Amino acid sequence: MNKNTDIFEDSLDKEAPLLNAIPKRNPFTVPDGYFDSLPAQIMEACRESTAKKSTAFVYDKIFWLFRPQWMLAVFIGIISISLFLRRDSNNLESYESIAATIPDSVIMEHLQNNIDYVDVSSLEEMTQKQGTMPAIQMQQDTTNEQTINYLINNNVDANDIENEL
Amino acid sequence: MAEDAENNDAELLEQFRNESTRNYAFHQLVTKYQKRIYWQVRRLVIDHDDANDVVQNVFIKVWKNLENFKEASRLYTWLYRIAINESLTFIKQKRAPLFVAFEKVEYGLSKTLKDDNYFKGEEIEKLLQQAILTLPEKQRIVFNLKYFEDMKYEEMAQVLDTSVGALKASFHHAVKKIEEFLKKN
Repeated sequence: MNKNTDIFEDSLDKEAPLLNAIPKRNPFTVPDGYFDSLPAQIMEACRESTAKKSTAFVYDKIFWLFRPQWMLAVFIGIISISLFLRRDSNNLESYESIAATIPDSVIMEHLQNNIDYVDVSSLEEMTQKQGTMPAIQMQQDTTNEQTINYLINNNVDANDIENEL
Repeated sequence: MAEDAENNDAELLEQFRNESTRNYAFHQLVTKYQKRIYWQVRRLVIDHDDANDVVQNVFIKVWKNLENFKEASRLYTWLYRIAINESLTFIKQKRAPLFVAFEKVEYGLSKTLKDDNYFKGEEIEKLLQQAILTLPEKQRIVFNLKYFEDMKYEEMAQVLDTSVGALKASFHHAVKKIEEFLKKN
């Protein structure tokens, strides 16, 4: 024994006589046959831990895919897309509803004032397809009627006008 | 003798690294070290059932990490370190749920000692165990390893990752405190 390193141990009887008087043995015991069965218990526990580890790995993967932050991002994405689509359909509806409130006369006036910008051929084509009287023709008829009334009311001879033309 | 044990450990490690002999090697390792590990744990956690749980955790940890064991230290030094860490973690967990004070846990362990069916020592031996339970964790570990296991300070320094001088001082303080306790009781 190294005197320098274990000097205190050598003087245990002087330094701690009460402790030195206590038998230096193991006072604990274990159930009968405990150490015979412990290795098998431990091997089983190790096998279980390995199985748990592989199951835990699968769960970890699933959890990784369904992590709360991922789910939150997907949820926000779905909400954003649905709000965007809903806003577009609302706009479509609102254009139609606004157009429905405009009186035909206003539309006609607008068309007359901006006749240069109206593609007459496409209008005719459209009305032929729909089988309805063209609105402009109706307006023209009304205007002719008003002209005739004007001529009658003001005693204007239509022949004179024709001659002048 | 120690050289034989080390050669044997090297052989066990070699067998453990081979898939076909892994279970056999580990069974051999458990059989070889189970008693030393168990008694070390038992002296720290006192109760047999608790010690049984901790020992199983120790060997599960060894099973999981043995493949990466670097052999820079001796195998049993590594095993002791795991056993001590697991025991301390277990005691801390007992303390953690209600932030139970150190003294209360040690008082609980001391009470366990009184009611323990697997304690066959004389009254004076029970008193010694109670005295050990009054020591701070590190002094308890050092005292148990030196007094009961007769472990060399150099080996203990490897297990506890501390200096030989600090260990000697810890043992000295532990002995003084135990002597005081025995005088008072």
